[in-house]
Parts: sequence; structure tokens; C-alpha cells
Amino acid sequence: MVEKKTKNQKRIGVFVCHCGINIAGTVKIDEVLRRLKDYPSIAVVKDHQYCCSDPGQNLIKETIVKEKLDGVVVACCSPTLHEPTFRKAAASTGINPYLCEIANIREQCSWVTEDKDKATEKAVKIIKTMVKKVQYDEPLTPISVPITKRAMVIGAGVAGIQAALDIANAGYETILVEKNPSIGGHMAQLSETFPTLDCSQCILTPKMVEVKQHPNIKLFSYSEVKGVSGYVGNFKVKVKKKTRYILPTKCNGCGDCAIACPVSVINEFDAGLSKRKAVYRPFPQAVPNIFTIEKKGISPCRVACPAGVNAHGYVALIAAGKYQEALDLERQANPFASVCGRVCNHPCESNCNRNQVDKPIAICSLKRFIADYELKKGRQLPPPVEKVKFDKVAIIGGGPAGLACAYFLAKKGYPVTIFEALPELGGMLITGIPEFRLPRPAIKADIDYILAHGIDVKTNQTLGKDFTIEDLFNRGYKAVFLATGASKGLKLGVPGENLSGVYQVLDFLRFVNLKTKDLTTEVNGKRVAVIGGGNAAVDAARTALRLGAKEVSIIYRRSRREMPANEWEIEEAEKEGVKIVYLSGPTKILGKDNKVIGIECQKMELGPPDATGRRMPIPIPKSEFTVETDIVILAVSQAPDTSLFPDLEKTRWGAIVVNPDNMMTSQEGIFAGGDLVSGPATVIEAVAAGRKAAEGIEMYLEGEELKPAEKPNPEIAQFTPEEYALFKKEPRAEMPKIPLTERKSFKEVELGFSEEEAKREAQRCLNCSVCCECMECVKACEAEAIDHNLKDESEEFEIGSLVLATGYEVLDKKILGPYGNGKYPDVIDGLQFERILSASGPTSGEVRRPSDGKVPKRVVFVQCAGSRDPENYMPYCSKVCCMYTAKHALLYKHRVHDGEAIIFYIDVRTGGKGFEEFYKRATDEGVIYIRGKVSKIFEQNGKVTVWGADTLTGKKVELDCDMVVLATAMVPTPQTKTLATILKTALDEQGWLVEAHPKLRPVETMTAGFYLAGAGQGPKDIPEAVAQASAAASKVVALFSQKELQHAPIIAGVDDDLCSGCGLCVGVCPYQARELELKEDGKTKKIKVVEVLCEGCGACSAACPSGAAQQKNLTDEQIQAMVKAGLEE
Amino acid sequence: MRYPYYPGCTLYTKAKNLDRCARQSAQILGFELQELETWNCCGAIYSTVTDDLAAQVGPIRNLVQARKMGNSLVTLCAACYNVLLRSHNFLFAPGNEKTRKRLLEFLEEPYDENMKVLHYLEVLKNDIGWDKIKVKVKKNLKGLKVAPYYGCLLLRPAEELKFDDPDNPKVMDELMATLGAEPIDFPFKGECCGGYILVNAPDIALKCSKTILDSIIAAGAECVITSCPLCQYNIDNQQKLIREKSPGFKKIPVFYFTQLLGLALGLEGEILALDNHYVDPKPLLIQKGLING
Repeated sequence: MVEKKTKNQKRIGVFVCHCGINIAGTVKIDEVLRRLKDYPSIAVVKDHQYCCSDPGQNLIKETIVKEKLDGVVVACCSPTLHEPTFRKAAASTGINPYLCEIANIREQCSWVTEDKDKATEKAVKIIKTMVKKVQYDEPLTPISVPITKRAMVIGAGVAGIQAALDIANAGYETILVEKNPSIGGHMAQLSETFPTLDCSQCILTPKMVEVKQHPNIKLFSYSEVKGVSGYVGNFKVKVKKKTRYILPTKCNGCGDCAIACPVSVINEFDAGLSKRKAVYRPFPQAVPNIFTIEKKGISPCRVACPAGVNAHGYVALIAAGKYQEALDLERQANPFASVCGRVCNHPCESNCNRNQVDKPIAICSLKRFIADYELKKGRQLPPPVEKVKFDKVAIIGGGPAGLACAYFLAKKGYPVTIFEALPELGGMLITGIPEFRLPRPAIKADIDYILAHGIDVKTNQTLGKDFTIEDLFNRGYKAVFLATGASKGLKLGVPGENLSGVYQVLDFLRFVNLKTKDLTTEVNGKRVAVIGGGNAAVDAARTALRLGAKEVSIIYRRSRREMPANEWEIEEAEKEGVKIVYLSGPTKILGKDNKVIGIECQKMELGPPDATGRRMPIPIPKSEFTVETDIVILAVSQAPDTSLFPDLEKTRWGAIVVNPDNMMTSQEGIFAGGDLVSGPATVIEAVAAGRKAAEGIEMYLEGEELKPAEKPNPEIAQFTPEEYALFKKEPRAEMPKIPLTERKSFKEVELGFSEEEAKREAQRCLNCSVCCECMECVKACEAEAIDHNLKDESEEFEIGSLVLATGYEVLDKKILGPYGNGKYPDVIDGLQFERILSASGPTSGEVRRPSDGKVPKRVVFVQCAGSRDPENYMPYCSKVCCMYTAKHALLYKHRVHDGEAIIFYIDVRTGGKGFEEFYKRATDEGVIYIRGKVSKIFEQNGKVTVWGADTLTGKKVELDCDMVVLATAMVPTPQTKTLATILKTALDEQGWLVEAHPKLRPVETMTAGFYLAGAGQGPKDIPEAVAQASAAASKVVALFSQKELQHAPIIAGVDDDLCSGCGLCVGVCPYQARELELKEDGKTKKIKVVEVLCEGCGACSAACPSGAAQQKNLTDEQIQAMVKAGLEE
Repeated sequence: MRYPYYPGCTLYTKAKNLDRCARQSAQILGFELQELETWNCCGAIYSTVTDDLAAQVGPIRNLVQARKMGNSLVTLCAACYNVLLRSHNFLFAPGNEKTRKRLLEFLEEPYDENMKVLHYLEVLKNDIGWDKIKVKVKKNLKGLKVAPYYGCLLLRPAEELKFDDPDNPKVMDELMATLGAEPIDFPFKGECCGGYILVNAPDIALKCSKTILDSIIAAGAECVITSCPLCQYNIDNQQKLIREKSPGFKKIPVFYFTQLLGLALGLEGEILALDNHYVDPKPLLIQKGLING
């Protein structure tokens, strides 16, 4: 150990550098030497013209030895330049390098004044302060840090690929992370490359394959970096591996899934010029060569359906012409395709995202189409399901809830028996809904389908009369499902309800629907008034019209907005001639000779909302009026008849109480659902209840523990307002209907879509969630590689160094207002033209314009579209556009021999090997260059018109052409910003990654261990990106070639005696280098310093209230002494 | 709601229909245009000469009058809107403190920054809202294909007016869609109608108007709307000369947007001033069943 000398014993040598005339031109060196000669501790003062030169360093070394110096001050330039130089020189003589300090008398001294006296005075003071510092300096040893010799490269475009290959070839393990499903970046999209016209893919794909096959490269495609911690040589990086829903080990890339997939969306790889499927591979040469299923949450139509029908799925399948598959998918959640296709209240449509564009998809009518289509084609009913279970289930009530429950249980193999009081099945479907809305054959179609699964039916069996629930259990049924509905009509509670001519709506409808009582003579030619505003009221009104009523009116106490009946049914009723009297409540039914002659009503106004959210009607005093009528139909509301279930727990309003998780009532083994539980509700809600009960019964019978009902919180797929604005408006298919003149019979009003209409309507679907989960791909995949239940995964890697190769995007032409905001199909960007030129592109390399596929005979190219335009867009030059535009024009002329290529330019910049020659070639081959900017581009009558200026002739230019190619600016990818935040690395004003020094450290960042490659750092072409990538790789390799890393020892420690454990320094430390830990006593706390993490910034020293946090060789005492020395006269 | 209102000279003479329909529509929509007690010429063209303070006195005097009544001023004429808004901005532009002091001392009236110069369309869109207008529509303009022509003064300089996207303006399109009409997109929504150049270079003005009209007709519109009396004059009246030069030219009526607004809100007869046009718009409106023949 070096013997420690106290501060006054140190012998310090001062070496004053002239730095040519940089210092000596202003600072009077002689005077400095003279004034320092006798300063305490200074043993020797010398000067040299260039201390950093070999003779200069030798002078220092020799003097140290000869004068037996303990410390050195070199008065010269900034320590960032030569501190390492002089410390190394000093160390070579045996003294501790941290006892060699720099007194900077150049940057802030000699350079900033011409006053020699003042400069000299300041130089002396600076040197004195540094002498004081050395007096207090202690010998330090650098901290050794191990290196994890594994690299990570983020971004696998050509730069990332090159960097990864170079590092891997040097023998180090490399993790390559790419956000897209395939590596290759933008270069894979390009056609040919300038100036040699090499095929881009041909030169790139071998490198991509090399990446895949390289033993040292671990590729994580479709993955993103989510977090980074640690320090150079020892980073921890968290990577999120997005699931492809496809097992990479099994997928063989055959593409059968994509053929089966019904969903088509915009193909980003073709820059939006073509479509791809929801399961896709960006391009055939993709690496890895596996497919990916894209999902963006769940489509709102699916979430809205009470029964969980996959509406998006069957709509997508209809769009693809797969009608049977669509129907099969629909029936997985709802066996009533034919019924619900006609009478569903379709909440799916109200929630359809297409509402934000124009009108929702006609989902309900599409369902009807597939049901009708199956019948029309002639169907074969499914064979009965084998009874693999033995526990018998009894279902009481053959309405939609009972039938649905039976269907789902039968599919599971349970023996199921339905007990129905009426002579036929259907419940409210046959008794309550008139035939002009829901014809009998449509109901029969669904019931036949359900029963085909193997269900016993016992009709004319009334509970309480023919059997009891107890009987059923005695007969060996293990579970009973009650679905007896809600058919008890409620009374109004006004005088006159018992008069002849007053009907309960369900009685009225049942008489007509089941033809059990002929009402024709009673209604024909009469006036009918229906009281109520629900679907039953509207159905009754329309039925009365068909029975020949002279006049039909609906009396409703609130306004149209609150009317619970379906809006479209109300509209039809009005068209057919039903009058609706709003805001009127009956107070008395008037009679004469026990026969109805009218209704006395009172006018209402709307008050505050009630419990249902609808505004409450409030009677207006003295506003009575009379409606003359012969028949009154009461359609106020219905309630379940629960008198048969005295032992079951009921709600206050008389419905059966069930456990919402399994639909079991208060008695074990007895389940209930449908209107009996919910009160009057819709068919689809009854189906949902039946299905849930079936699941509950299964859990009960299998003795499974009751699972609480899943309350999924699905991420509902949505678009941004900007995205909505991009969708083209397309009219919703109109349902064909029979003319009003034919509405006197009970013929079905709606006729259904033709195949063509259905397909076109289904194709309006926006595919909100992309994948519709129809599972067609699963069926198609022979390799069994698809699993829709896979989840994203996260993995953490320990790495030593990181290369950022995040690349670029082209500026979105939607923001270029004067050039049409992206609304003209034949105004495309450079990347789109690359795809058009590419042999693997949407036109197979033929130049055809997007709007109509014509070969464009005149193409205008606009350079600097968004570049070099500081007022409006990007201030910088995008560097590659001049060359690729020349290439575009040339390739266009090669493909279209009689075509005319005109380029608008500001300057043509051809700095690069072979670039100017290439530009010359373009002009020689007839490409026309016009120097000037383009002010406006618009499309009219199939022509694109360009307004611009020719600044060489000073004339305005107006050109008609067939297509315009905009050389849009290069901009950083949006992920660059996210990543920079995660990595805490700097971005410039435009969002490009910032290098450590623009000239001397172009591939390094300010964070040690992070390097830059490619266009993420700024616009550049392929050779430049590749060169930078190799440079970054060599930096990584140089780092890894060291045994261990040295960390500067100028760190802040802690004086345990002074530390009170307040923890203030923990919060201010930007490097997480300070931690609070318990002292040995187990009670009080103290600070622990993680030395390798400390960067010596001094934040803790400033924050520490007790002075316990002291930075090595920059202690408070030391700094005070230095300040004093600086202030000495 | 009550807004101080500056009509401007033309709205009292040639553009009565712009003014009257606006006032009546406002009442239906639940706000009032309260005309300034005293007002003068807006200046007609905003002076870009920085030391021509006399040119600023006129518009600023109008603003001062409005400030006495409230903190906003509504105009209808695109030119008035442009001049008044920019004069206000000029007063409070950084570095103009001395000029402001001089001008206000000259006018001997107080004035401050809390003043918003609004176009009637901004009131409709931001203060009333399309939803509220929609429920007030009595006569749906369904089936009427309207080309909204904005002209230059309503849109530019965009960074100063902040009225709408100068390349892709939308506010009148949205209004027409609200009233049930079909707004027709065309590429010259914000191009120059010819303006005052009509006086000394009628050929150039004619070419401007014709370019716009040809495009509107080719896009399939049945009529045009504008908010600027000068645009209305050029686009409407120039059709006479265009017809003389190109006999095949099919004439197209040019409305003020307030006329169609008023029509949709149920205004009738005199107030719409449908006779005040060169190209008679009545046949079109009769054909669409919007007025009686």
C-alpha cells in the first residue's frame, strides 16, 4: 500500500501547457510560473509548448521521478480531452492516477478574453484551486465490473440484421428483437436499389436466412422491449413476446389457415395497396416463416349480444360466402337462427362500430339469410347426440328458454325431457308473435333443428294439473329447469276493465296466432285502441289492422323516445296506418250496455327520469279527453305466474330468485330462467338464460364446484376518429318488404336478402377486432398449430450491450393537405410505388395505378413532400428521396416505354458513390426535371392535376397526369419514442435518436453500452445504414473483448457515523445506487451504496442534511479549500 | 344567448338574404344577433402595411363598440370576419404595444384582449352544436347536393384565423349534412373566386370563377353555398359571361349558407330573398319539394 501523506506533506508538480498560442497567446506563461513558484505544496513548476505531445508527457514523467512528486496539476485544455492522457502518463511513473488533476486554463480562460492580464490572473487562480484539490485528493482504485457478454439488437431491418450478424460472427450470443411478425424491415418492401438496381429482396433475404440459422442469434420476432434496468455490461431487458396464436414449433407455413380465414384487412406490407387475411404472413420469404393471427380486442357486436353469439364471426363468414360455416358458428351460442334472424332486438347492431361511419351492419337480417339459405338448399338435420350421461333433466316450458336449455344439455349428451302445457312447442314465439313477423315454418325450422339433437317432448302436460315437480324427482329426474314464462297480463286498475270488448294483449294475440278463437267478425270494421308501448302493443295493433279493423290507435303515456317497442316495428306500424297517441294515459274505459264505447284519457307531461332511466309521465290536471273505440287491448305489462311454486324464493315483484352464477333457485336441483326470472324480456335473453342454466345444471350434476359467473372485461375493439374518417360510406342493404297493399293478410312482411345482397352487406363489416374467432383456421390447420387461447409472454434477458436499430416510417400523406390529405387513390407515396414496382407486389411488378388498374402514361414525382419544409412539416432533408425518385422514374420508363416521367425538385442531391452518374442516366433516358415546388394536387374526372412552379423559367405549371408519386419525408417510427422513454436515451427535436457526438462518436449514445444503427438515428440509405450497423457491432465487440469493465471510482460513499438513515438521498439518486437497509441492531436504518451504479453526479451529497454522503475527491472540506484558494488575493 | 353583431355594408344592400336568414335562424336556434349601435366600414381589405395605422382605425373602432356590449363579435361576411379578426390580432401582437396605445388613445375608448371575433358558422358549430340544430330541422334538405364553397378570406391565413383546415375545410360541409343535404367535395373549396380583380382584370376573374364552377358541376353538385358576398357575386353573376363564352355551360344556383339554413329551419317567403340571385334557385328548390311552385 502506498504510504498516505497528509495534505501539507504532498509534493505537487505544476505543468503549464502553452497549447501553441491557444493558451500562451493570452496567458502570460512566465508570470504564471513566477507567481506559482513559492505557493505552498508546489515543489516544481514547469511549462511546455504542447504537454500532450510525446516530449511533453516525457517532461512530466521525468519530473515526477526526479522531484519525487506525490501529485500533479496539468494546466491545459478541458479534462474531457486530455485528463485520461495525463493520468495515464502519471500512472506510468507509479503515482496514483487520481492524484493527477487538470486545471483548465483554455476553454473558459484564454479563449474567452483578449485581456492578457485578466487571463493570466484567472489562470493562476484556477491552478491554485486545483493544487488545493490535489492536496486533499486520495489515491483511488477503479471499481471492476463484470460483463455479460450477450448483446441485444432492437429492430431487425437491414441495419439490425447486419449488427446482429456481425456481433454473432464475432462469437457472442445476440438477441434480436423485432416488433413485426417478420424481420426485414422496409428493405424487404423495396423493389430495386439505387444506384446499381440490385433487387432489394434478392440481396436481403440471404441475410435474413442467415439470421435464422445462426447458432449465436436468438430471434424474437413479434416482440417488444418493455423495460430496461442496469448499467453497461450488466443490463436487464424485459421483452414482451406477443402471441401469434400459432405455435411456432408446429406451424409449417403452408398457408391453409389464410385460405380458410374469412377476414380481409389492409395489407401493411403492400403499403395499403392490397388486402391480407387476419391470419397472415407479411410476405412469402418471411423470417420466421410462420403465420400470425392479428387480434385487437373483441368486436363490440359480440360483447353486446346477451347470448354471446359471435356476430362478427358469422358476418365475416357470410362475406366470404361460407354460409353453412356461418350458420354452424351462430348455432354454437344460439339455436334460434331462423327466429332471431327475424325478431331479435339485435343489440349487436346498436353497438356496431359502423354506426360511426354510416349505418350498422344488418347483422340480424344476415342471420336470417343463412337460416333461410340452409332451408332453401335443403338441409339434413343433425343426428341425435349419443347419450353419454345418465342423469335425466326435466324442462318445464317449451318456450325459447326451455328449448335453449334442452339444446345445450342434449349437445352434452344428457337425456332431456321437455314438458309443455300447450299442444305444441314454442311458447311465446307461437302465442305472442304474429305470423307476419314470424311465420310458423321459421319457428318450426329452429325447433326441428333443436329436437334433432335427441330431446324427449311431452306436450299437453300442465304443471300442477298433470304432474308436480316432486313427481319428476320421484320419477328419477336429477334436475328440473323451470321456464314457464310470464304470461299473466297486468291490469290497468281503471274502471271499466271488465267490459265486453276489453282484451289482454296476450289473449288477443294467442287467439289469433293459435287460431283458437276467430276474432275477425268482432274486429272487422271496428275501431281498436291498444294501450301500451311495447312490442306486444305494436304487434296487437298491426294484427288488428289485418283482421280488418277500421281504425287502430296506440295510446302511450310517454313520448316516442321512451317507447320500448323496436323503432323499426313502430315505423312499419305507422306505415300500415296505425295512429299513435303519445303522452296520454287512460283513466276510465267507457261502456254502454256492458260494451266498450271509448276510453277517457288524460294528457301527460314528462317529469324526471324513473328507475328505468325513462322520464316519468305526470298527468296534467283537467286535460281529459275521450277516444272513441269499440275494442280495447290492454298491453301494459305481464308478470310470471308463480303461484305454482309456493316454496321458491321470489322477488318483490313476484319473479323467481336464482343464483346468477348457475340459475339455481332457492331449492337444490331446481333451476329457473327466461321470463319467469327476468320478467318479460327478449328471445335472445331467454336463449342466454337457457344456456347459462344448462351450464349450471351440468356443473350441479357433475358435482363440480360452483364457478362464479365469469365477468370478463373484454377490451372492446374501436377505431380512432381519424380511422373512422378513412372508411368509405356504403349504403346499408335495405330489407325488401311486401308492399303496403298486401299487408291485409298475415303474409310475412320482410322478404329476406338475396345471396348477393347478403354478401355485399356482410362485406361492409369493418372487422373491428381483425380476427373474428370463427375458428375456421383451426379446422384448416393440419399441423394443429393454432391455439386461440395462447397469451402474450414476457421474458427477461441479461445482456451487456444494446444496439438500437429502430428504423423509420414514411410521413403519412394524410397530413399533406395541399396534396389531398391522402384522399386521392392515385396520389401515392414512395413506398407504395416501390410495392407497385416490386415483382412480389400487388400488381406483380406491372405499373398500374391503384384507382382503376390502368397503366399510367404520365407520372409526376414530387420530391421533398414534407421534407425541407420547416414552416409546415419536417425541416430536414430526407436524404434518400432524390436518388429513389430518380430510380422510380427510370424504372417506370423501363416498364412503360411510352410513359412520361416528370419530377418536381428543389435541389437534386447526389452525394454518394455512383449517385451523380445514376442521376445523369435518368436525365439521359428522358426523365424530365422541373425545378420548383408543387402547390396543389387534386383529382377530378379520372385525371390527377398538379399545380406547381418552374422557378427556372419563372412560370406557373399546370399538369394533368395519371398518377402522382410523393417522395414523402422519412420520420422516426412511433416506437422509437416509446423505446427512448424506456431506455432513457435522448431524442432530437424531430424524434430521431441522438448520437454521443455528431462527428467523433456517431454510433454511440450518451448512455454507455447503447449503440445506434440505421435510420432510427436520422435519414440514411441502405449502405450507410449497413456501415453504421457494422460500426455499432464493432463497438459492442470491443466492449465484450475486455475481461471486465472499469468503473470510475469518483463515487459518493456514506459516512456511517454521520448517516441518520433519513433516506433523502435514495429519492434524489437518478441511478438507483443508494438503498436503505437495516443496521445490525435491526431497528435503525442506514444507507448502502451500490458502487457500480454510482455515476458520481453528486445529487446525494447536495441532498444529505448531515454531510454523510461525500463524494470521493470532491468532499465538502476539499471544495471549501478550493474556493478559498480561488478567492485569495 | 346574445351576441354583438356586425353586419357590414353589403349585408344591408346586396346580401340582405345572408343577413336576414341568419338573424331569423338564430332566433329559431335560441340565440340573438344584437346589432352594434353604431358601426362603420370594416376596411374591406386587411392592410398588411405595418405603419398604415389609419387603415386599422376603422375595424378597431367596430371592435371597441362591440367590446362595450360583450366579449365577442359575430360577423357573417367572410371579408369582415377576416379584417376584424386580424385587426384584433394586430393590436395584441407581441411588439405592438406602442402602436396599440397610440390607436386606442386616438379612439379615446377603452379596449382589451378579452374579445373574440367569431364567424356565424363558429357559433353554430361550437356554441349551438350540430346535434341541437339537427332537432330543429323542419324541412330536411335530403337529396339536395350542395357544394360548399369557402373562398379564401374565411380560411387564410390559416394560422391566424384558426377557422378551419385551409386545404380541407369542413364546417359548411358539416352544416349541410346536419340539415340533411349531401355535401359535395370538390378540390377548389378554398381557391380564389377572382375577388376584386374583377374590376381591373375581368378576364382573370372570369377564369377563376369558371375553374371553380366547372369543378363543382363536374362533381355532381346541384347548387353552391358561400359565406362571402364577393364570392357569391362572382360565382353567381359571372355565369352570365361564362354562358356567353361557352354556350354549353349549365347554370347552377349559388346560395348563402344562411338561406339553406333558414329554409331547413322552416323560414319561408320574402325572408329567403330567393329573387335576389342571378341564377334563379327556385326551380331547383321546387323540384326538390322544398318550396311551393
